[in-house]
Amino acid sequence: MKNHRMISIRGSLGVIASVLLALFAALPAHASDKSAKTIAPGKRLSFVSCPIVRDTEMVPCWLAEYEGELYYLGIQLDLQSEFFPPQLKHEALVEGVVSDKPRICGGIVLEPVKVSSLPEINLSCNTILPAEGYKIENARRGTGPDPDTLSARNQARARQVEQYKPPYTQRTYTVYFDFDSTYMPSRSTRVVTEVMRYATAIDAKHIQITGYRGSALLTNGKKMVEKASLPEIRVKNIESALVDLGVKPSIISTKWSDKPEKPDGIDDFETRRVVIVVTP
Amino acid sequence: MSSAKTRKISRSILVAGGAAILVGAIAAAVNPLHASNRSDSSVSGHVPAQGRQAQSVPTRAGNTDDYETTDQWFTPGSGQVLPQFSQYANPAGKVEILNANGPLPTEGHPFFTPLGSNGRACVTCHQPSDSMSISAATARARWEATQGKDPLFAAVDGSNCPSLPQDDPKSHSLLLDHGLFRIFLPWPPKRPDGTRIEPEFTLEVVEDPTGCNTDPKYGLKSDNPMVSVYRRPKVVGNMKYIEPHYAQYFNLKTGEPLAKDPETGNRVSMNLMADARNLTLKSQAFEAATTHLQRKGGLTEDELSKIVAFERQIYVAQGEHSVAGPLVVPGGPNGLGALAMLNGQYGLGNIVSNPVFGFFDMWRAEPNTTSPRDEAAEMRASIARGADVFFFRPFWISDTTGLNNIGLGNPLKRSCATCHNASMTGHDVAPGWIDVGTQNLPTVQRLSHLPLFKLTCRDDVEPHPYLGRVIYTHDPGRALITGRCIEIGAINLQQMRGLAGRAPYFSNGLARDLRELVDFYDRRFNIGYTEQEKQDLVNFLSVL
Repeated sequence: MKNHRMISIRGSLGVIASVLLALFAALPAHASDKSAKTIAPGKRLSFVSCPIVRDTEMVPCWLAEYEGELYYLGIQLDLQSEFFPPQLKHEALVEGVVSDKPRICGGIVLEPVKVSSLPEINLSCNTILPAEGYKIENARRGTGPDPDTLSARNQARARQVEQYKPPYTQRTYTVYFDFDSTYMPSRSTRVVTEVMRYATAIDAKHIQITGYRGSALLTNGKKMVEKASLPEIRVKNIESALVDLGVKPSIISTKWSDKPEKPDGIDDFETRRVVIVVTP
Repeated sequence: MSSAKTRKISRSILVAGGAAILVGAIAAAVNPLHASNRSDSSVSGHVPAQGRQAQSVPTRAGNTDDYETTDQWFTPGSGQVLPQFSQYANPAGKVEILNANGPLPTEGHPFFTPLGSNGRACVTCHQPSDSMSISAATARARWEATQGKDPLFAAVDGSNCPSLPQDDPKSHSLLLDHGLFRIFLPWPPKRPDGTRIEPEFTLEVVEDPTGCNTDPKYGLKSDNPMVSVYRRPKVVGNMKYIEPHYAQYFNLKTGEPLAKDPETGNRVSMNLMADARNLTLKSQAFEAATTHLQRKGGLTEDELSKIVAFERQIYVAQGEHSVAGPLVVPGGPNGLGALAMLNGQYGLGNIVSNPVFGFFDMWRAEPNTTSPRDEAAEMRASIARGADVFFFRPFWISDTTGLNNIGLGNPLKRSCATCHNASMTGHDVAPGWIDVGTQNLPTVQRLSHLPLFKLTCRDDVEPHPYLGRVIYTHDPGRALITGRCIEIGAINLQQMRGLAGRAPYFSNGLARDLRELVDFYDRRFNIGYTEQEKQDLVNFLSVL
């Protein structure tokens, strides 16, 4: 299934990361000391470690340490953002690509990057670093109320609701999940909503929902496999949501596999997914 | 009530009231909700079991005529008129109650009439003088005035447990000292259709100071297994801000679709109750009549319609501050007073151009320090600073289920308004069940007057994100309804209007006054408020 990957995700991550780079501000002198170790740009990294938050001005930035090196993951924004920060008290699965861009917040930039907060508690993940001279500038929002961009974005999104015109074609939608999680954040529920809109607008004859069990090959050679029960739960949650949103139950078929997808260390986040195919 | 102040209301209220009546009439013509016979779909699945327990609790002969109506106490069945506009004194000044549809003769009105077997009406615990809730101070005054005979102290939930001697004030200590009523819910929980939910955790009673969870008749091992928790009554008012759902389809907290009104199929806010167990005002009223009023057979469609209509026409807000003076003045803040509640717009208030409680800039100016001191101006400046602290002052919000675990990161550096984000009322539009730490140990210190439960989650379910799989709690909150481990201790944020008249605060009455409320947050999130910031926040909260 990995050859069915949706490159749009990677593309949007790239755009976001580019925007984030604009946030990069002058580094304090000692930051460059940390770059003595050379990590080849383009190298893919997949590791589990405690996330770290740095108390930078404007908004905090998020980092993770791996093999003695600090990596920059993203900044705190809101649920409209592509990057969702991880959680202290939890380890994070970090899957990203080393960028050749200047460090941000003292960390080598991973871009694109996917971060999954792992569900079990790890109380040793509790590091809040001081700003140490690092700053975030020109972020879309700071630590206070939304500077009116949220309502503008919502209005823009409402205007962008697609009007479907015949001939209708089969469409495939993919919902990705954090590792070992069934929670669907707003970016995932937007996909489910779009499935409902398309299916009801074209009076779809069939919706196939298929769940896959994710796995990840870490850079250190270890392999992580999701819980076997997750694909079924994810599929049933999406089926239930679609029916609740008005899709006829009779046109929905579901299946899932508890056999883990084969990871290769390249965009393994795409293995933990539910694929929804809408057929006119 | 006879001396309750009334004053002229602007024509806009009357127009709005008339419009509301018209809209209601149109709705009645097209909406099957208004059919003459009540549909059982409005009765939540947990209610029949509650009804069985409520009916098993003895009542005293309720004769509300025995108890004097005062300026501050609205006696059920008294028939007095609720004015279109009234003010009631409270510790910070005066709260305003605006009845948008005009003066209401309460004779026979189901909100004001004892409908059950214990002499209570809805108004018993939703007093206009107490911002349409009831304070612990009022409960104590009522005990003194009636020697504990007022129906407010009904054994079913106005005492720590019905099995206790009801003439002893110690048996009512949770109500008298903390403003808490017993909420009894079937365990295991039930779906809306009444089928049993298999909870993700076991529930053990560790401490039972009221005796009710281990009581052979009313407890968890009774013939009708019931868990008892103790909660404050919420405000009945400002419903145009509480009922609407902000998200179109999905609940941010769960990633699942927002629930629907079973009768209309319309989505609901899920923000009416502390644990969102009832989805509509109608189903809430039905349960309240069944439990709090001990009404057998619930309410008729006519009674339900009248109660819901009344609840939708009541607006509540502080109107006067004892030092700052009148809060509703020309050129003053645009978000204060009951009329502002009537005219305000529902929406997201965590936006720079649309602050949750409006703008206070005109009060921000430094007060004139020349002699004599202008104490009112100084207080208004303090209130404006408090509004800024509420809206802008960032701090690390951490380990809060329903916020930090939904993609925002743990910790999240934001302000009070991040969670208290609904325009005009300050609840959470999300909807807002959050484990802010008022119920679960160790974020809250052991409260010896409340029951303590040990909840052990199964290994195959997602744990509570910050407390794991073994959790000690005084009230499992939303988890008592869903059976979900991740929701243990999560309680819906309540609206922040009329605070000065309805201490104590939080669903379990944890904070005796506004200062303790501010201190709780300061400790909980290690905010480091200065003494000035704390006082400014208290002053700000007291004028909402």
